[in-house]
Amino acid sequence: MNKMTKKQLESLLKTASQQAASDMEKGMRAEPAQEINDRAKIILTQKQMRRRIGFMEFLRRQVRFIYCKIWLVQMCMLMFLFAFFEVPMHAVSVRDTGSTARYTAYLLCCMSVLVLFLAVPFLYRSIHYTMYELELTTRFSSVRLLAARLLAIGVGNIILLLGILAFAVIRTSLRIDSVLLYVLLPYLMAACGLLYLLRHLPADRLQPASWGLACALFVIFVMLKRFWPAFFVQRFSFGWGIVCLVLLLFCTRQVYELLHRPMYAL
Amino acid sequence: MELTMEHISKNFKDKKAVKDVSLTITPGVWGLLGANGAGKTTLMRIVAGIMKPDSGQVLYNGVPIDVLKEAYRDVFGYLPQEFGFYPEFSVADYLEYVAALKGLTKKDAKHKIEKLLDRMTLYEVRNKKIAKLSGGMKRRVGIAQALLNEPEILILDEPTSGLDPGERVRFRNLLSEFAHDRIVLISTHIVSDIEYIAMRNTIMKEGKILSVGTTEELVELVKGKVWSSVVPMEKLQKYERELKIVNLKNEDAGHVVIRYLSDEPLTKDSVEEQARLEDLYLWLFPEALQKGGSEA
Repeated sequence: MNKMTKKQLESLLKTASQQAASDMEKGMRAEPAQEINDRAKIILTQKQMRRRIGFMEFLRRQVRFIYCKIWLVQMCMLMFLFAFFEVPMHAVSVRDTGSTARYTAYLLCCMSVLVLFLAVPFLYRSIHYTMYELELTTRFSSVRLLAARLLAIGVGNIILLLGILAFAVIRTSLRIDSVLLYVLLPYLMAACGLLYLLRHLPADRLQPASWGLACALFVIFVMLKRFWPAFFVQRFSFGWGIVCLVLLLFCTRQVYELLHRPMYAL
Repeated sequence: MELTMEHISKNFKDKKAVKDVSLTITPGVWGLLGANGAGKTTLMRIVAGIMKPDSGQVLYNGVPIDVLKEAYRDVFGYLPQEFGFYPEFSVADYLEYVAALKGLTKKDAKHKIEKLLDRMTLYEVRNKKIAKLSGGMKRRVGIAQALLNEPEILILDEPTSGLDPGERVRFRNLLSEFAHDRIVLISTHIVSDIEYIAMRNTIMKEGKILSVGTTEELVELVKGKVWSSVVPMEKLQKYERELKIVNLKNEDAGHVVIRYLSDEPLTKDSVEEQARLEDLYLWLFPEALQKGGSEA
């Protein structure tokens, strides 16, 4: 018996024991965990005889069906953002450099948030097209399907953010550490909020909630621009680094909890 | 091989959808019959492992399905009542996508898709966008995806919606062939879908199982309650109010032949008829008569 099967059996035995203990607490008929384990072993051995692909091969085959669409939308978005960036930059270039720098930073914050939220519809596209229920019953669980989509969106977002970063460094007067701050910080703030919603909301409520969150973040940036313009002339200091690290850890925790939630999705 | 539901219950905010359902299903075709709102779809989703019951458990060969997880989904095929597809998918794309979700290798997927396209007479339209297919063809695509991984358990929720009579016959024949050593559970309110092919039927009403048995055993429940009579046309409205009329047929000279359900014959010339499963359905779900009756 190979290592994978042993690991799976250990996991099954542990779950079966927990199930038996839970059943006994509820006063239900509880089969000995060993009997369940023996039966599970038979089913698992039969499963091993069916040739099936692993998660990496599954990801590779998703490129054609799902990833290409996500990345295409993100590429179009990048081009739109570049064009979008040029127009206001040209409009404010006659003002003083301080005002331009603040406005540039403000635009970078908005673009970072936009990059993340434009990919949200892909997360649960299957609900919109009534494929969700069917996808839930396939071999790759809802959790792994979600992980596959988060991975695609994450890869695309990183490339987008790097593109924005490069463009801003080349085309604006902002220093690289300031650009990094105004690209990374809003993105991490938005990611924390979105992953939290993803973890706690049912699938059909995620999209309206995420748009609400995006609007809230835009309002925050507008308020900052009005009442604390100094926020937009910061540099990537140690303090901001700590803030970003905390946000990143929060995101990591949310992703971990998402990928370990129970199998039931409805 | 057996699939066991033990004391399954599921409540929603305003309704008890499933009430303490226990059932053991063995290989063969099993029908789950009930009106809309009986709890069939909720039960199907619990068996499919995508909805958690409030109490009870589902076991496959004695092992709870939430212990088996992926191993259970690997032997499971499901056609939900409402299913859709991404608009950019052709028939072949859709089946390849689902094959990847089911974990089939590329070689296996290609071979099985070719076989299923042929078996479901979809080969000619394999490159056509699913959105442009007729309702019946879309349903066939849905059935094809459920069979991709050669499941040992096949759950079909209202599978024949939109199929014409010829397609329904082909579908029944396909299922009968498939169910030889597999569990096939069909949830439907169309009696004829299962009347002739189901090994055993389960009748569900208001979240509970009323009865389980072969078609012959279940039909015994309405034996002696099915009658036919020739009545004048002018009295028809009166009889429609008083009786559970399941069929009307015009005769000549202003008379109609009615087939009705009643404990006792209500006209002198009533003749006892051989009961059918549809009669049992309408006896148990008289509201279906107000809505137009079950579909034959």
